[in-house]
Amino acid sequence: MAKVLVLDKIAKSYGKIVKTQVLHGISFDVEEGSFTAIIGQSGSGKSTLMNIIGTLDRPDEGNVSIYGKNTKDMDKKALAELRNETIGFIFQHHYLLPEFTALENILMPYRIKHTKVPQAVMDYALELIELVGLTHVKDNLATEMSGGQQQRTAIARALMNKPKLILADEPTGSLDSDTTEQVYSLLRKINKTYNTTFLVITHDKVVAQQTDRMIEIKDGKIELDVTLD
Amino acid sequence: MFSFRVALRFLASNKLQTLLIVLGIAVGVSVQVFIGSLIQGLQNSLIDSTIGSSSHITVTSSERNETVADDASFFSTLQGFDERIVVVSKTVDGSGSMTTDTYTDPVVIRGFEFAQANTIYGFDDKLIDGALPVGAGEMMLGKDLVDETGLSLGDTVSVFIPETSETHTVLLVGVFDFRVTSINKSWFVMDLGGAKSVLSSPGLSSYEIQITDVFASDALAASLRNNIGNDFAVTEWQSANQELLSGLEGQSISSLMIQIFVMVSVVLGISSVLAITVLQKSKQLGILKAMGTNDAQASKIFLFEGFLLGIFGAVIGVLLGLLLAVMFTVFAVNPDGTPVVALYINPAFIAMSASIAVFASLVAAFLPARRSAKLDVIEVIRNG
Repeated sequence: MAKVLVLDKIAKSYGKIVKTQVLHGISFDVEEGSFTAIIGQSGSGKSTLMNIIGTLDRPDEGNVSIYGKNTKDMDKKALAELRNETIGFIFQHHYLLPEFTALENILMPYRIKHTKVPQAVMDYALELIELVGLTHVKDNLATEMSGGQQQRTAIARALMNKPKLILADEPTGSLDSDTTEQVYSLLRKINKTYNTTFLVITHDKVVAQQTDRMIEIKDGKIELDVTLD
Repeated sequence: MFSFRVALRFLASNKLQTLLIVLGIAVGVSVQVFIGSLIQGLQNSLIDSTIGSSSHITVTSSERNETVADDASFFSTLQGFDERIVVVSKTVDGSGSMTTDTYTDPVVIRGFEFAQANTIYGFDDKLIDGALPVGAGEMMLGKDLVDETGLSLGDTVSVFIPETSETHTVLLVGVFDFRVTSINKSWFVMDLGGAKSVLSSPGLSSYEIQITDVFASDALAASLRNNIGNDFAVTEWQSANQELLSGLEGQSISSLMIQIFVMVSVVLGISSVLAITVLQKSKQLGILKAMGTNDAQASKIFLFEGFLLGIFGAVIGVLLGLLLAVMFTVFAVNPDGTPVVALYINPAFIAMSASIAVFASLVAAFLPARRSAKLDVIEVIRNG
């Protein structure tokens, strides 16, 4: 299977005077269509790793290749374009734009690039909103929805540009356990339906064990990398 | 356009804040439009009352008390000298003393060709009774002199010319009112031929010229001087009214200063509010950047916000300023009901004020736009 993501000896440290090394030469590959969980305690460096994979942050050393493209030599504009076309983000907080409705938020990644929304794209957005079960609140402002609805909107938004890779950082971190269950089964469904590759950060081992593969980060190194059934 | 849509929505979602900034700009623009229109109206009415009914450029003989020849070819040379010349009018002037049954008054005898002189002096409008005089036997006087002497149309007066020691009898056929007492009391107006014959003048006293652009009089006079030779002297209103001109200039500068400071405060106001907006919207900007909005798009959001605020502020400001100006002419009036300062609406000036406001708003948005471009996604995500 094709490699969506190749990490090669990623190292990162913070601080100018006192340097704190957060990541120590992390390397792994992610295959297309896989559902991988990254677990670790807080401070283990998993969020930093996620930001580097998502090209929001740059590593001090090592390479990140996304679909064979080395991101090291790309400028900010090229990275923005790469993110827009290839990566979907789901954060712990939904980060919806409160000034826009659910549907408008979902269309946002498309509108960054395109002035007009053709009917086919609009239909796809409506399909997504149906998929996350929010058709009845699609014209509500982001602030007029419940926490679960907001997070599901954020998931639909992450899918809008049909990204090959979805990065989710504690996507259910601010949700209750029932909603958490719903969201994960939704992510799984999307994974199966669109063959989208998922990389999900979680501190919840129960959730992690339902995935295809589990990578545990500890003190900036890979502690464990297992394939699950 | 993505940035434009987001800018519009950001503005629409915080209506009160948007309204306040727009009002801030509008007040600035309205002050500018109001003060600018007022000062220009004031200056125009000052200039009009000073030189509206007089010669802008006067060509006389270079010798004192000498006449210039009444020369048709020279007359047409003057007429065709520059396209800014509206009219050239021949005049004959002299002094005399007018005697009625009871009074003797010194008068300035002035002879005009009314066809041309009308353009400068507007005799048609200023004639309040009777008709314009024709020939050596007719004249008209100002309202004040007529009132004082008790003359009426059809009366005859004697006029003594000291230079020739001759006395002529002339019929009063018209009364004019220039609304300037010194003119109304002293002018003894005849047609050109009549005045020539009464004054026994062989030529003309002067050629009087009125031009379209009154402030070009000095330049035009200088080029006339170079072209018509040393037999003539050329005078113009600007060098004769230096004090008025420096007064007008002082007024223009102080009005400009007010306008500049108003605009500076508008710029500072918009800039600080937009800078706060960048902070308010940093989460939104962060996620937009994560989703692939590039720095240029992120900064354009705020440039568009500045632009839109500027447009709305300018439009409302212009309307408000015009309203103020109209109110001023309605409520600040002379005892006779005419406005203290006539309303002067200069579309070019208003368009300029509006454009300056839009430009200033764009400048004000520049700093927030840079901040928006520099905003780091990681900071937002980490602190979110």
